[in-house]
Amino acid sequence: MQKPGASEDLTKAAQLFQSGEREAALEIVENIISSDAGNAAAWQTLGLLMLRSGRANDGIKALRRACTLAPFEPGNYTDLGLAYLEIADYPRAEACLISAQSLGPADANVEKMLAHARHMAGTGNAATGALAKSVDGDAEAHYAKALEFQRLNSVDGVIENLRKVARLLPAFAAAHKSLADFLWHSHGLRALTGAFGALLELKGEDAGIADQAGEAELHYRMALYHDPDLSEANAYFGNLLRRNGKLSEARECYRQAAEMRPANAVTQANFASLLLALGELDEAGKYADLALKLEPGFAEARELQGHILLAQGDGPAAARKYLDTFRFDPKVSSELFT
Amino acid sequence: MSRSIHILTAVWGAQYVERFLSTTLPTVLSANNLPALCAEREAVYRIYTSREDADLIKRSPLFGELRRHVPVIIESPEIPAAPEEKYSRATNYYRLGLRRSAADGMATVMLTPDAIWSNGSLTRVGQLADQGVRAVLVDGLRAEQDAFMDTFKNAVLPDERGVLTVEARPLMKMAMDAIHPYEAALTWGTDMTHDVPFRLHWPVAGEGILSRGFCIHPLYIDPETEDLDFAGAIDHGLVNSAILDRSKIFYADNSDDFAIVSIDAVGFSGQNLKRFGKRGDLLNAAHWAWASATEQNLEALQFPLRRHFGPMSEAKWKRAERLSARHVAAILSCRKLLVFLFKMEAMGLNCAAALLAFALKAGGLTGWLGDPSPKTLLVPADTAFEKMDSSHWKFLLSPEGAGALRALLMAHTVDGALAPSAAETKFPGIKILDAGIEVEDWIIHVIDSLVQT
Repeated sequence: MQKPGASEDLTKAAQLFQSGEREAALEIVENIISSDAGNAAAWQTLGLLMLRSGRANDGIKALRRACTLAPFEPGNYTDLGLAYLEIADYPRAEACLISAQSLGPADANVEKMLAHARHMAGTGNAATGALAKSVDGDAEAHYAKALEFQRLNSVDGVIENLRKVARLLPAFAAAHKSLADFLWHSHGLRALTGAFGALLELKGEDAGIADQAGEAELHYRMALYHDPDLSEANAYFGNLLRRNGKLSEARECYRQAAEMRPANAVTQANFASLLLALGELDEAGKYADLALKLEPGFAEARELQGHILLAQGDGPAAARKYLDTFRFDPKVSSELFT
Repeated sequence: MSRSIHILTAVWGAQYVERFLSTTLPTVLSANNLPALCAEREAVYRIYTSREDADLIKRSPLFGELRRHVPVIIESPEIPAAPEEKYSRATNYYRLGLRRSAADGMATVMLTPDAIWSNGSLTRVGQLADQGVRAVLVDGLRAEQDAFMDTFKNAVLPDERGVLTVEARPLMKMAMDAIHPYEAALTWGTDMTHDVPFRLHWPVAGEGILSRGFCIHPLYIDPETEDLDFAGAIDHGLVNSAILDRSKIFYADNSDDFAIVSIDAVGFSGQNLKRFGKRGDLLNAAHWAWASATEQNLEALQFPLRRHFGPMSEAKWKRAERLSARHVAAILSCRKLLVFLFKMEAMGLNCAAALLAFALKAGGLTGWLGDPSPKTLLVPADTAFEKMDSSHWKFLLSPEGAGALRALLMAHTVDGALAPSAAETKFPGIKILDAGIEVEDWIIHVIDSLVQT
């Protein structure tokens, strides 16, 4: 819900912009956002004003924010698609325009822009193309169903519906991220029950497990492709990459996540533990200390400090850290790499 | 004369009431469960529930069937429940029911509302009660709801009254085929574990799992005393508070007697699952036991339960029992070491405490003591470590020094109780600074120098 008067102010800003008073127009919009950061319409207006001021990258960032805040508003995707066309980023433009087309009534202008984007993108955008297969349905309804399945504790129901949302709205970064989270979670649990079955000689290997992991990776990539500022996607994707042995790519994800989420102890600890694995001990120590400063009762971070000190050759200090570790229970967080 | 029995179920909330009526009650009503139990003795079935759920239960066709076998009382008492205690409402209902049993001179059967019971489980309870057993403790196995029910609905069809009859072995097979990830995580050999190790499993290929648990449910209890003083949920302290003669406590040891399956959605709470590594799994269990386990929990862990879905090859199960016994010994001895560790720290024995913590966390010495039986630890005072060459101290606390550290710790550990004078004789050159500090059934003597290895 917009704050009262915001809509009139946005109209006024657009008028000021038309009459050449660009700075005044931008100031009005920025004021609205600073008092209400969740105002999607303000972000959309800001994005458009910036684009028209020649600040394409800032404009795109603002329009992305509008899409995140109002993911079922076709106009946001149309504007973002147009912005991508302007900077000749055809694959992203294509994804945005497909999303706009899925949500809105038939619009000849959008169709024309989409045809252009597809033509210019050629076949290079395989990932988006695969996801953008024609799927009948109402993205918002599928999203609502996914939430309902989540309430009912049904992982499969959530995944099935989020897959449809991601196909209908390939530029909806948060949907890709959520889908990847659930796929990765489900993959982990299926791997566990598969291992149990193998130990008991009950059943053969679950062939779908590898597919699920690959699909999760693809959707994390799509999420970050459409919104590199999704900090949680960086954090979780880092975990997936690390588990799959892609340590240097994981390092970059963790680094970005740690930068974007300076107050998140788990993120800092994950980065520290990867740095330890990579032998970057001083850096690892820095992030482990930060994690513990943020959350003094964080048992795993304390143990990590012990491991780092031990790797640095300071066994006595490590021993004191290990002693401390026993005072606390393990941390409960799906974000924690273990 | 058979002991009269007060059967209790506490159930509320649409989801649980639906599960109670659709799976629990139909299996409880199979011929060798409640009908057989109640045919031979005086019994009453009391259901504690909310007022709105009471109507739902009474409207169920199975309610009439239940009443054919036993008088049923449905009550909705006001129950205080502490929101921070997850199981407090159920526990308070059980407390109320147990008081009622005592007043009426009856033993109690506590039937959980969300389990599927193999045919014969309650007959077995009756047999054990008739043999003079005062507590029967059983443990369920959690299966993944959708996968389990897909099979169960096709394999176990209701009779004309809606009763479901399922024998123990097929029930175990269905549960293991659809094992819940939490149970899989608690199985030795998988690469994750649950941070609350409420039970542990050891696989027996092709036949089942051997289980041991901290939190085992008292299905039947006939207290020796009316004064039941226990904290927490009923699987934490009730039995030890009620039954002093431990020979009267029966832990289910074979799923042929009691096959119990609870079903649950896979859900989203994977955050409780951790990768500790095998040695870390044992240490995690020891840490949980140190922080949370009651005496009853620790006792319960000693009793293995064979859950199997076919005939058992004795050699395979014996092997699993030996492995599990070694792991349990490691868990219990490490738990005791944690008790010691903080006792040492409180006594100012910081170097020894840190050394022990290092040995447990990084020295790979989880099972070094082999068993939790009574021991005497000779703990050097901090001044003793100050005499040690600093490079040797660093060596001990390094990955390369693990062997030397183990030898050092073993040199300071004696099986059984060792008197201070005997210690000074056995280890010439050491002087006892503080003697006979008891921690559970172990003893600490603080010494002035290190025992030479």
